Amino acid sequence: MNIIKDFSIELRKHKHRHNFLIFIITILAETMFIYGNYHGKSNLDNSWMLLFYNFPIMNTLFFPVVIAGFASRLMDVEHKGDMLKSLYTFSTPHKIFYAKYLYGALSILGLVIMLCASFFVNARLLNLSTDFQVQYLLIFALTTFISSLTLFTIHMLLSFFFKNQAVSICVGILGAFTGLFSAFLPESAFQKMYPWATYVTSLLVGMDWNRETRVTRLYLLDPDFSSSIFNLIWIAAITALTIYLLKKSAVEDKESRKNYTISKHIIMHKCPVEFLKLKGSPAWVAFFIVPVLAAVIGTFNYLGNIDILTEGWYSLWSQHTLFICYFFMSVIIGIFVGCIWRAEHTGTNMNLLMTHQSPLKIIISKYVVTCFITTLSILWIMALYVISGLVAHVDGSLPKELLSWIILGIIGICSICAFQIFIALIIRNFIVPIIIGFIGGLSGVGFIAKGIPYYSPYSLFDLAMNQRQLGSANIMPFLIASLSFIIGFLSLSTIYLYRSDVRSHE
Amino acid sequence: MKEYVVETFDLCKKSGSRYRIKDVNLSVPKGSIYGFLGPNGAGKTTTMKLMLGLIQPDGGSIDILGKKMNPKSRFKINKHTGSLIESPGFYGHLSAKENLEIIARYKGLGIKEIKEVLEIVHLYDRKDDKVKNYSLGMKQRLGIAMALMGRPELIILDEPTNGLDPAGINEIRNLIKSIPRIYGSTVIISSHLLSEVEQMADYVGIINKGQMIYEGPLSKLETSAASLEEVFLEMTKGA
Repeated sequence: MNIIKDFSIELRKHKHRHNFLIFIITILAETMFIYGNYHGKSNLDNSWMLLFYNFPIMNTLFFPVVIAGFASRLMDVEHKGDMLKSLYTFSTPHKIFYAKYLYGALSILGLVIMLCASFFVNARLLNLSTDFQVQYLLIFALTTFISSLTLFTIHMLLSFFFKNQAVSICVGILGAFTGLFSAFLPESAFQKMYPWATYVTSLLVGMDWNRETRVTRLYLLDPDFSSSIFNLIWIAAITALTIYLLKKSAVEDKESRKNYTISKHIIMHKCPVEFLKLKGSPAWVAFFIVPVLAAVIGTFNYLGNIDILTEGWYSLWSQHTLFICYFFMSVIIGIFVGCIWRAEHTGTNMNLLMTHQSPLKIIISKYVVTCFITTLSILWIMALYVISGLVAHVDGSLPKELLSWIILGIIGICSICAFQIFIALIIRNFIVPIIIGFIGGLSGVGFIAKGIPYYSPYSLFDLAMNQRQLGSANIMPFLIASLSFIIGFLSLSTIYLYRSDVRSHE
Repeated sequence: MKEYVVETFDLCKKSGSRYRIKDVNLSVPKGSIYGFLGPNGAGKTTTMKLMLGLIQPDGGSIDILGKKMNPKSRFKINKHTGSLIESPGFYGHLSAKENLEIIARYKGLGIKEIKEVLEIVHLYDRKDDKVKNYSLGMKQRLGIAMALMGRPELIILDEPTNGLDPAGINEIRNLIKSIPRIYGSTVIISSHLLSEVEQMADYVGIINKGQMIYEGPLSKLETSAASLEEVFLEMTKGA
């Protein structure tokens, strides 16, 4: 059988790639989140429902990112060494795609099985009951598998045709956030058709939260397969599209030689070298687009809930900064830092850099660029806040603490930048530091909830931007923690560059 | 007594438990063109990376331009070197001019030097094209241009004629030959092609399986009856 041969070749390609490690880390992260949230709160009836309720929500957030990273890794092996050129001489694009797809589908099946197995571990850890009917677990496994496979199909298409891994991972992250966000909107047919939301729309357990009594109640829902059916249609459609595109594809460099106007003179740029290296790179765009999205969503949310949100400008601020702080900012920084290090990690550029610049200067210049752009982004967030407040005719005057939120926010975010600079330096892979940023951003919330906000750079930013959490008494520990993170990670990075051998071509 | 630009003393580098190079002693006389010869995988690139401080030795030491090479002195020393190691490094999304500009900014040079090297490697007309659209040979020329920039005292070129056409090889060969005269620099050039080194170098070092097996003036090697080709094959055989 041909496909079996192709599949075994595929297996060999991923030897030593530790693809499953990403999956295991994801499940561990989900387990930790659930443990952190529900430890010692298992006094509900049918407490197993907690698992069936929380895991799909976690999956909505984590799986799209992980699957995006996984799919782009599958293709990255080929893109990195320009392997497709030679592969196409003894295999067809279709065969390569099928073998990869099969490998991916089986891996995702493995992921789902591990997830189901983790239910029992979680039940044991949290002291939950496990007297659910097996069919629930099977239905959960089936719908999760179909949703994951849909996302995988989408990302295979993206990573097959875009060499840049950033495309796939950005779509994944955006999908995760929009999927999660859609869970807060009233249920609609559109939501069921949106692949990133289908983990939530296939929920088997619902939750009620009574505002007066503050009691949560979990209840069983009838299995809803409509999302899975839509997903199957998606899979068929996207696979058909991929196959069609493969038929037309040939290995050629899309960017054929353009006619550049040849300048007569040589003019030096005025901007710092690091900015010159970023020329033409879209890495910084997200810093200015995402705040606009957050501002629009936040303002509408504020206007929609104006009867609950009674604190005027203060309420508006919380609506504006909620998503930015907890989710987006660390990911955007992760992508940006990933891009600036990737330029150096490519080919033999590290040789070039290290023979021309001292390690300390390398780290400092990269750090300054990152901080500069994030600071602009924070100022942009503030400007958007003031503008939308004025447009929405919010009563009262601007909060007098606004300036201190912004200044402390900038300090807090600089410690995230330092951490990401370090991580992306030592992990030469493009995807992993971004995923760490993503999980880090979420963990920041956890650190605050657990009352240990000064132990994570991510939670420092959340603290500073959140009006109530950082009283003036806590400014000293905040500053000390920020400064030690900044100095600590920058020195670690410098020492790493100093000590370690320069590696190239990997 | 000769003045040496580079001297290594019992230089070793391991990967895992295997020696990539072992007890390498070589000395490069000032103002010479030093041909560093060896078959593929003999340790040429490793030795050159050690000279530039890009990797740290597991034993032995290096004197370069009169200073000890270590992580601290690396940057100071490399201000006076120019190098092309492995394949050329470049930022593909930028033009050749912008790539050279980055190097110029790091080295504190100006437009004059950029123009000079662009003309030397005949890339002046293509200086505004993105480097990722360059052919292999043009990328190689850009790499050489980067190494020559600012007329460094020591120029280290790792297989510089890779991917060049015959005319290009000839051109680069003449260029390298002229460097000591015009710039007053010392050149180390590695190659696995003897014919190549024969036409340029006055000194040769031959390395095989991580160990030096010959070092001295080219003329001495040639005086033995056999042709250089035979000498080389004899030396690197089995060993």
